[in-house]
Amino acid sequence: MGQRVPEHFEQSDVRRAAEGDHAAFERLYREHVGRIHALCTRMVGSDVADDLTQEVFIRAWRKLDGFKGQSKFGTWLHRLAVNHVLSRRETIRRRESKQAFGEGILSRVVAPPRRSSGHALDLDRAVRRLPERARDVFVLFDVEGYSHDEIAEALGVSVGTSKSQLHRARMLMREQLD
Amino acid sequence: MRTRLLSIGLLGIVTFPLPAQTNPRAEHAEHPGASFTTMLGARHMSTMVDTLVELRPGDRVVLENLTGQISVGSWDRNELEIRGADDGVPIMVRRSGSTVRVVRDDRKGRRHALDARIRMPASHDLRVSGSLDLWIEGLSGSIDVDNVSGDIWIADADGQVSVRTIEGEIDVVRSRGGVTASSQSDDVRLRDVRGPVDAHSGSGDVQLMEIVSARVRAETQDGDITFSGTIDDGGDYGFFVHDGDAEVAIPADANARVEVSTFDGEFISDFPVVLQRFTGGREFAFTVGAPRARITIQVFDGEIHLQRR
Amino acid sequence: MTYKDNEHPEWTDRLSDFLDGGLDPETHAAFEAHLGECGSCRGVLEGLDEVRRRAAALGPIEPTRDLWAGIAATIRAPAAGAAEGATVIALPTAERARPDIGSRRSHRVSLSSMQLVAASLVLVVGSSLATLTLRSQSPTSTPPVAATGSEGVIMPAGTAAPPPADLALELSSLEQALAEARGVLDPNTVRILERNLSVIEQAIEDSHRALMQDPENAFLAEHLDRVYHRKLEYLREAARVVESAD
Repeated sequence: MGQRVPEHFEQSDVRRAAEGDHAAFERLYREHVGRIHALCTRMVGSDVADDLTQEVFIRAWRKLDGFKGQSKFGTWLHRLAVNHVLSRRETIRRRESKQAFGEGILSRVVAPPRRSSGHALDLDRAVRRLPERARDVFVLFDVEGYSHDEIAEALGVSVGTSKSQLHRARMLMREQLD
Repeated sequence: MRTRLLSIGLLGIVTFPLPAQTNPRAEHAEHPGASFTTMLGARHMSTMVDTLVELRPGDRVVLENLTGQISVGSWDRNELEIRGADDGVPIMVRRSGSTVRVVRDDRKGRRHALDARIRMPASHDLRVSGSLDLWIEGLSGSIDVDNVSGDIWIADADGQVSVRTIEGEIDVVRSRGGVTASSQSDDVRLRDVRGPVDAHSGSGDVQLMEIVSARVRAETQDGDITFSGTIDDGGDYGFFVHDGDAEVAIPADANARVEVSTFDGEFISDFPVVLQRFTGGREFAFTVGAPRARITIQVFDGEIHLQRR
Repeated sequence: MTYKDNEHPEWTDRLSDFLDGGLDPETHAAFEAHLGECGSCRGVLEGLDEVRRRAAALGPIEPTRDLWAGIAATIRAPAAGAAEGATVIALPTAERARPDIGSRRSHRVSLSSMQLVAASLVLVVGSSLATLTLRSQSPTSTPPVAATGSEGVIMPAGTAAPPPADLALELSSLEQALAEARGVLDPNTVRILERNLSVIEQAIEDSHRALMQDPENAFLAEHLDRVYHRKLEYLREAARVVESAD
């Protein structure tokens, strides 16, 4: 993406989009799609990130009239995305389990961890290897900057669990990146 | 029969036989329709609960707004017994007419957990509400559960069973009076059930096994439905799935008209299929044997499998 | 959990707290003292800090294809979509795992509308196992997903599905009551309620989209209506939870 859109332009686009202006919503989409797509990719995987990203923006469009402007649009959108990803993951997991004998899953299961010779693994690839709960906390805390309180609420765990999963994630990441 | 009431023990050591005036029978006789309240346990300390309340024929037992883990079983005495451990918030037993309520004084703070075993006469009706892991076994009265979060397991119920939970699994086995069960988040499993069945899960599977019923309805928004049971002549069987599969196993000699609808899916049948109605790309009907019962299977997105039992 | 180089788990297990400033001053000082004399823990700390810094520097990931077309088609008003003759591009439906049917003979029959009509609406499959594939056969029967695969699905779908008139008022007031009660419920309950609601809303969205494609389909109309009733029942149940929390 290019330069960030000044905030007052964004506010104007949010207002217009809430009134049904598709072009304004497209500008908001262009501005934020990278971050939302990154969240979906890191939390659920690249194979369904496109679908989830689209669902997030469709959902955002439908909920825009409920956006009161108490936070920045990007913050609101991002929280909506986190909730959507968490709620949709169950369905995705169920579908994946139905396809458990599919080639895609098998290859994912049996493929040995690939390490590039002499180089640290790509950080995003390492994130994908984390256990799910540790990955959630790591992405939300270290990448996205949420607090433990916010993460605990979103994931339905205690703050202590959020902290211990973060530490677990960092330790595992450190081992992978060594 | 001598009426004892409500004995409690702090840490199970001290018991207090209650004075005669708290006898619910006596109080009720003096003030028809009035309620009585007896407090159990003590504030601010962990207590063992050991309570006995006499019940009269036709009394309904209500466990109201409780949290924790509770098991309910039956015995051959006309008394309600509550034994277990709480965390210091008093339990109150209140009678109002023929309803005996077990409640906790949680109004000023967060919910407190109770870990208790309850015994009551099998024939009395039971109603439970709260946020509980709940086991109920061997009752012949009706059972009505409204839960928020927690797993529910009900066995050997002869009366009508109605159970709802927002989050938590529901298991009902060996029930003879029909079952209505709904979990918004988790699986609902019924096995060896007779009588009308209405089972729903918001985002879990619905498994109905060994069902003998003329009226079955199962629905899930995000999960699979499995049914295995008899098909009564004149019966009505409906299976509704939004995103998931439906596997319906019926006897080889069943007699039913089968109506199938799907938006995007596949239909697999162990039975020969003679289409009698076709109303679009994905709706049709056919008959297995003679059209004496009706089987409706609607799956928005998923597979439908009609199997021989 | 066993970690590599974890010589002093009593220290290393709290190194993340130390890094994030989550320790009380006394413990923080004790950590600093320990780190001053323990190279192993210092090494772990540096590794964790490196992970943390690299994670914070992770940037956006742009999708490899333009997702806007699928979004735009879905949010476009139905009238506009119809007037412009919005293109419907069917994408391959995700393959489902088929149940194991063992040694039974399987006969799968794909039925399109035309085939069935040609068969005078009567089809006999005289085998022990019949399979009818009822998947999309025509341009109007696109799988019920907003977008999958690489082409992007364009749906002639409208905005949020309007609830049936007889439910609208109660739905709206229950939704409002639930929104207002958010503050009095514990976060975990809120999370559960919202997650369940999102499953129902997804079902409504799917059904609505399908119905937009095939407005005459009685099954889809009934299905959407059923999901709405389910939403109403759910909101009533949620209201009960709110009441009990008061």
